[in-house]
Amino acid sequence: MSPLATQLELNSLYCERGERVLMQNVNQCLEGGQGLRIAGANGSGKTTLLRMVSGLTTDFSGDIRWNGRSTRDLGALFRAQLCYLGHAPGVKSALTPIENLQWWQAMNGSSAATADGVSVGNPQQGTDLEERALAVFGLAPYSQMPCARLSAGQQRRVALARLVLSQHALWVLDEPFTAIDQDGVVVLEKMFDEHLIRGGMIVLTTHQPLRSERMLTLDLDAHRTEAGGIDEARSL
Amino acid sequence: MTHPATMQSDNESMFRILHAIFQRDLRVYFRTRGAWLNPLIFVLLVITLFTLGIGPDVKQLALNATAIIWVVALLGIMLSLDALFRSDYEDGTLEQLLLSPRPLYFAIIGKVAAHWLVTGLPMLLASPLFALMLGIPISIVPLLALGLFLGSGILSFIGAIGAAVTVSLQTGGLLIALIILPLYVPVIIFGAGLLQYALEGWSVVAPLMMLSGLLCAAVVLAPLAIGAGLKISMDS
Repeated sequence: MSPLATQLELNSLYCERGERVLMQNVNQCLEGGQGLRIAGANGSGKTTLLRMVSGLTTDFSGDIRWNGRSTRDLGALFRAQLCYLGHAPGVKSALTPIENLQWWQAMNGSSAATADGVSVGNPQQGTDLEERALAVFGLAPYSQMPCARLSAGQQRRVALARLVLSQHALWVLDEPFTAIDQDGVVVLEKMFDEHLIRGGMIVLTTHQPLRSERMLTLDLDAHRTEAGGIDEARSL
Repeated sequence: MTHPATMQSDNESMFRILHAIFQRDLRVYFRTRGAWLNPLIFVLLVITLFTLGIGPDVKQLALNATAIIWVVALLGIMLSLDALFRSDYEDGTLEQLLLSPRPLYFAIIGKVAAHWLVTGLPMLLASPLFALMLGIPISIVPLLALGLFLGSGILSFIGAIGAAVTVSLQTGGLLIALIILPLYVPVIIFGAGLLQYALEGWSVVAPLMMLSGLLCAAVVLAPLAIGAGLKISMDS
């Protein structure tokens, strides 16, 4: 499992888009076992911040440190700790939920998990691991059906089922509750708690009220220049 | 850009991701027939138009056959390339690919190789038909098939650079053409040259070696540019 003493630091992040300062002076430190909920109005840069943390966006200043080392320098070592779920679920609609989990495992999972997941596994027969992950989200009856025939919520669930398989220390989730029903929310919140108790970390955006006491909140609205002008930002 | 050499580089990891992506894409191609059937139908239709346009004079037709076949094959592959990364970009699987700790370089080779197989192989199999339509002597068909197969590999790998750079743009199609058509010049010269030499009864070793050399260079070097292009496309 993940190393116990993990730490994620956001140091004086500054990001502008076009002529607009999206965020400035964002500082936050997160220890293993803590979650961070990024709050803010629409367009306040929540998704951008998640993409900055995951390394998809590099167009910003300031640095993001994982256990004291810059994530840019860590590269693949950092990505090995990271499970990212973006706006788009990352689910291939031509493939079945099982196949989707299998190739994701092959890219991210431990070698042991991929050995029976992709190389040896019969394409029509999912392995136990993936079947169990789908069952957690109530997708067991659909495991052999192309994802194109599943509803939007079910496709989101396929994406979320990765979290069951995930061995990663850091979960970065962009609106994980989108299109998820009440039951799903309960399952997901329970998984979040378990992950945090294990010493994992979660960074997420959501408009869903979260009950967990392990969740810190970072409000991006407080990190914007009010006028939003680039000149004002420069004069600071 | 992280250099592939600095990544976690055990052989197993490289081939696992290459194999996983190759297998996944082949599966997607077989379930969505348009991807591999359309380029072939396009080539057949355009060749038909040429034969109708030039008229019943077989000599005239055979005179231009080499150029026609190569230009049409090139256009067919180029048109199919627009979709190479687009669906991955839209459904979010491209993000997952870029965030995988395993080397992107090999994932890209797997992906483009799958594309090459599903566009190049049908053209190889249809080459006797092309020859018949354009009045190329049957004795040259094996060379035509070999040339088209090598050529489609080069075209796929080089063209994927254009597809990677334009994947985030709404109207990538024409831009891809502008970016990569100049890069296709050597393929046209040696590909058409191969047939011309064969028709004249000269030794075909030189153009065949040039095509093979170009293919090797494209397979080894293009993924670096493709990876950089994908990261830039994602970073916005």
